[in-house]
Amino acid sequence: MNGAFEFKGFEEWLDRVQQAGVDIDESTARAVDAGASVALTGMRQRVRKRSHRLENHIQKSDVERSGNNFSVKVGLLDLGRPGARYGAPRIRKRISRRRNKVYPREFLYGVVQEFGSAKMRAQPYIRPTFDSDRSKIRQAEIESLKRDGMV
Amino acid sequence: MTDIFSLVDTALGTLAPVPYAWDEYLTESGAALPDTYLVVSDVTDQPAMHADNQEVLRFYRIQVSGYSRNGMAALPNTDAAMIGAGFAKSNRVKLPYNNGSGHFGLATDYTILLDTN
Repeated sequence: MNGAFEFKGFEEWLDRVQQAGVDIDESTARAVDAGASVALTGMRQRVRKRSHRLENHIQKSDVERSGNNFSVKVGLLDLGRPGARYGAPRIRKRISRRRNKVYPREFLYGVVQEFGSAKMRAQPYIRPTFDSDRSKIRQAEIESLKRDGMV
Repeated sequence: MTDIFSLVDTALGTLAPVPYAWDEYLTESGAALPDTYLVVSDVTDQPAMHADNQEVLRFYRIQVSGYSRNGMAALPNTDAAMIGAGFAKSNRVKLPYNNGSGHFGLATDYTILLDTN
């Protein structure tokens, strides 16, 4: 058994995109970044706040590109400068992580907060964000693509 | 309507005599934690579908963490208990070894959609 897909109007759509004068790669990166910003906000809202150090270590990376895949990391990231990142998203090539890297101690605390430990209850903030804010993340990506005239 | 708490209680009750607790395993002051025990927490509890202004489906993500002083292999088989109760197995994460209590830990997520009518 097999099926056939027909995609009509593709050339027309490409013409429209070309007319809009927007680079597809940049637009895709902006959309992925917009979705990541929603996830970042959701995690920061849900994380336990005492000294706010854990909250400040929740960050998002630049948009990474691997072939036709665009991705952003959101969560406990060692980007060297805690806090919100603003400005236009940058695209960079995938980089390899150094082995035996020493992470800030907030990372272990963050894992324990998310999953709990033998002596501490879990107060998750990453999984609830992706469970609850999934539609918001998708909506932010669609809105970004709409702004660029992609959809 | 199926109650998520009684559903989990029934599922984990099949693993007796392994003790379990919701959110945090508390002991009396000075008493040590058991060698093997489970901790359950509800990670996500949110509506998944509405009809006629009524919630009809609810999504739950339940984390079951197993702790053991005798290594990971000694952890009870929570998969059989939870999947037998209708849950779907999701992510599994090894927890950092707890130097203070000497427990190894393994957290497993189970998800389920429950009819709220």
